[in-house]
Amino acid sequence: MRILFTSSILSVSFFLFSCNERKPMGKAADAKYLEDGSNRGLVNLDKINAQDFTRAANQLVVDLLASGSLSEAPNQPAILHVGEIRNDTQTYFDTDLLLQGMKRDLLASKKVRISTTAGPEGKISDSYADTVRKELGTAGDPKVTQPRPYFSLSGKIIEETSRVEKVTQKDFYFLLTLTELNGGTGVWFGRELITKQGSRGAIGF
Amino acid sequence: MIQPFIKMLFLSCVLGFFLMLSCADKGKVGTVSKKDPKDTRAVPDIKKVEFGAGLEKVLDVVRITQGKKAGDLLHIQVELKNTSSKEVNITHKLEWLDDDGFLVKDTSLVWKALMVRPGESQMIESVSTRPGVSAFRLKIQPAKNQ
Repeated sequence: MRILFTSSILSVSFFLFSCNERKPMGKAADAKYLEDGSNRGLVNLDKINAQDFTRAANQLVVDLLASGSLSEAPNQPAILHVGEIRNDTQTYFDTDLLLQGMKRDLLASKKVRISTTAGPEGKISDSYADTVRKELGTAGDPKVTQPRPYFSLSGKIIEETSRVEKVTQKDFYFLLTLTELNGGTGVWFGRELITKQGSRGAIGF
Repeated sequence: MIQPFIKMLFLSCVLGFFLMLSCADKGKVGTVSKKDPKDTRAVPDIKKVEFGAGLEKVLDVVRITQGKKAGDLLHIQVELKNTSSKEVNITHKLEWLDDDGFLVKDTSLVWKALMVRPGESQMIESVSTRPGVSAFRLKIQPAKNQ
């Protein structure tokens, strides 16, 4: 009888430990890999986490594609220059964390081609390619074409903090503008808000 | 002496069993998709795979609407209704599948949080970022932090 109960206790304990995801037992190593976009990543109140960048990038791309603005260019696919995205938050991060995912999706949509050699001096994403193109152009190479961007994408990321007693709310605004270069007017104004509220960070959401 | 010990063991076993049951559904994912991936009607039939962790009792997929954006990009909208009297917090992820059934790896592969109030309907809407996408899977899971 006693053996039966002891073995039941042991088996139940093993099952319980096997479905315990969050807390490491004692000093056991618990480092693990998470897939991109996982809902088990850390959720920090004071910064933009990986899943926030991916979500913002996705929502902005979907909004831009759904707006139909890119289809208005006379020549398809239109050429897009990706300009500066200003980080106005309290933490440093490279804005390519947002932009690279957007560029990949926009390119895959076949609605735009993205220029990597257009832009103001010192802010060209591929300066080597730009230099080579200029040299070849000067030498009169007929293969070098000079397509001009039709659209330019720019924007900023803003952080707002609110507190009530011990609860903090962080609002991260991702604001992007698509400008049509001929007219110099904005043709799409993207806005994605990521809000996090709580008293401390969490593992997963 | 032995009697209280056995009672305690028995109670522990019962408690352990219920604890096991409570975490058995943790992480289980419900999936919603079109019944026929090639269905191009505006309101395709819904193929509903059971929700995990009791979500099937509180959430109902009312309809899936689909169309095209920018010429050839699949645009979908899934209407979810909270049929319970309590707030439901979920996380969801959309997976696009191309004409050959391959998973499209884009920024939509991210879990997003959503709160549905009692009796409320919420729309999950998205546009595929690639032409040649004809189907999707919507994965729904209870939120961890309620």
